[in-house]
Amino acid sequence: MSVIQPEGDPSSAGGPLVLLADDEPHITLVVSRKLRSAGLDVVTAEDGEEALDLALERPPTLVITDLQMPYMTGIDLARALKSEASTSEIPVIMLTARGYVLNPAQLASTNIRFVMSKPFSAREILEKVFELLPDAPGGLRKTA
Amino acid sequence: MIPRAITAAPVCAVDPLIERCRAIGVPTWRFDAGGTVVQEPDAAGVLGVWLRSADMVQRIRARVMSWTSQDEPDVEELLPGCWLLPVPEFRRRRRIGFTVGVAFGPEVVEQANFREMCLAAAVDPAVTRRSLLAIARFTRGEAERLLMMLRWSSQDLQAFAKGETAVESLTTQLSDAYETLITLYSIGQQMNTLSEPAGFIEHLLRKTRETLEFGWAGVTLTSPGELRGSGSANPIFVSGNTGCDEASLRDAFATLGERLELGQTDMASPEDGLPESLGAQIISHALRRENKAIGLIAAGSKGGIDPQISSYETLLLEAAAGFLSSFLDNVELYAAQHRTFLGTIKAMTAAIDAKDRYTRGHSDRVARLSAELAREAGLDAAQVERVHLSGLVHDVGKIGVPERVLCKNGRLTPEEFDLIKLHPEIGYKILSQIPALDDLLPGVLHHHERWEGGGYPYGIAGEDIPRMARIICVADTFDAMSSTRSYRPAMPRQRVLDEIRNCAGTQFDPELAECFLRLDLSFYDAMVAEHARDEGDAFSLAA
Repeated sequence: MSVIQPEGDPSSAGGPLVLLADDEPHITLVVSRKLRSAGLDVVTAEDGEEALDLALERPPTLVITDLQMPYMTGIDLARALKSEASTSEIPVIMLTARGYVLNPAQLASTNIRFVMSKPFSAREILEKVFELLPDAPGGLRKTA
Repeated sequence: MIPRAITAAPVCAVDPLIERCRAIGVPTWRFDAGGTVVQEPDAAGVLGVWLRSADMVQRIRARVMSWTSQDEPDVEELLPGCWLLPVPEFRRRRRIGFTVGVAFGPEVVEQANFREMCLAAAVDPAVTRRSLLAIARFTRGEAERLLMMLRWSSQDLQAFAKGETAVESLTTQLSDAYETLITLYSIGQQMNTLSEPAGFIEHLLRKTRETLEFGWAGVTLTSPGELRGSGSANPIFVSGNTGCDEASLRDAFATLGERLELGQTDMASPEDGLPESLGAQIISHALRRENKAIGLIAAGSKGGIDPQISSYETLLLEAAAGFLSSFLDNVELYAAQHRTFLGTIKAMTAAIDAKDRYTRGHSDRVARLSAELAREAGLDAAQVERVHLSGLVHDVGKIGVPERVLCKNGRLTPEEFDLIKLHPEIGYKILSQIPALDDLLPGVLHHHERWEGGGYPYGIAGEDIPRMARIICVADTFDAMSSTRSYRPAMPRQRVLDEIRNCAGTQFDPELAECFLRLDLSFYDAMVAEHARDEGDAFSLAA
């Protein structure tokens, strides 16, 4: 048992929350497991539309999204997030099929910080997450 | 390029729900979002005929159409004692239709229009009534609670099906990853076979082809900086069946090389001017050393469950190319190192030979004779190679013997001979400074020992003398007797061989002497002739 307990509900206390959107359940399964074991809160969505709903309902600290998804692509999701006041600052990591190159026009008016091509390792994603969230995971701040 | 398609069929969550309804006496229909019947109830006998009748379907369908605008339609009474239980069906969070359970209560058969409905369906009302009463056991309240249970059941089944699909695709990916790992492991293990590059390339191609289920995989090595080279000198390695003769394969590789000059990886097809037999998709990757192209690896005719080349194949082929480039680098370094090593040894023997023109070529000839004798005596290739090298340097200690003694015309005094006898130990001291030559030292130190003892420097005998030295001893003596020396002319071949035979068991190891007498010495005569010609050239240059 941890001696130092977080105060109150970690999500309401503003701990990092990652929103992960991919229509392939095995990707969300593996990646969310890795992120959670690193001490991050994770919510998952299986398409861009659901991801947007979840993000507007409870703005995450970071969004990781697949590019090709039903109803709303990852690019459209990133644009929608940028255009909403409550989510306009949220950084985005984009997952793409190998060999798919995003052009500058696609990246314009989004907060896409990294583009990672599949297949990738969950560990590589975690590294990028830590680059974008230097204070994460919550565990690192316990000593402060 | 597209990621590998998930080969596992999505697990269907609807069938188990229908099964469960049937087990509790609730017939079911399935409708799509537009109100079209997807599946009818499979009840047997007159009850089935009644349930599936056009009249019944029309009545239910009318209600289903009214639900399409509702978020969560509730239990709906079709007629007293007949309740419709709408369980929405979802795919990717969109409602794609309804599974509709029909729960009956006993009062249904008392309804005024029940008989009419039976007649409309052309079934006997009395028989239908009996069949229906067997399953008509619900009340309205029970039907409402049943709908809740069915919805939860449906949600659980859909979550379960999603989990199953995820597990299936994870298992596929895991098994792919495992295969990749084993392949890379096996390729990595072979990377130290630097002396047999062709064996390694063939192993790498076979493993890559088998793991990725390609029909063929090939490598061509071109001159540095050149990818499109199709010259017949460029080596080609192929695993599997390309259905091409060598010439068209060379042309195909040249085409692929041309395409690769722009990038690292390329995907080509017969439309790009490649033979049909290489498959619909041909993937290729450049091999580079320090940014210079040195060849390419390619594969095609993919089979297996998914004949599309995906990022998975691309990744492994890239890894194989990386291994191969680094392996070829090492081969080149190894060969360069070996050339330096041999060059050093040649330089040393040249230094010895330069001191005494009568012994010119002696080191070369003794080395070759020793190697042939070692082979005849049954030593393996690696040992023969070491004996050869030891033979090359066996007299290196003569560098430390004064030239006036070494090149003296006429007989040596005992003091002078003592100086000559120092050369094995001097040679040993010189060469022991070089760790890579450690295993050549026994031949250098002991090649003047005698089988019966009494030789120099230690006077040891029999098998105490290292075999390498016993071999060189025979070869050295043979060449000395066969050559002109400053103090005597060369002896005829037959006399030399008689001498070897006579000294078996005294000067020489008798078994080795016997082996030596079996050798075909034509190679030796050729060497003597060549050395004589070199000497002639040297003299004419000096003149």
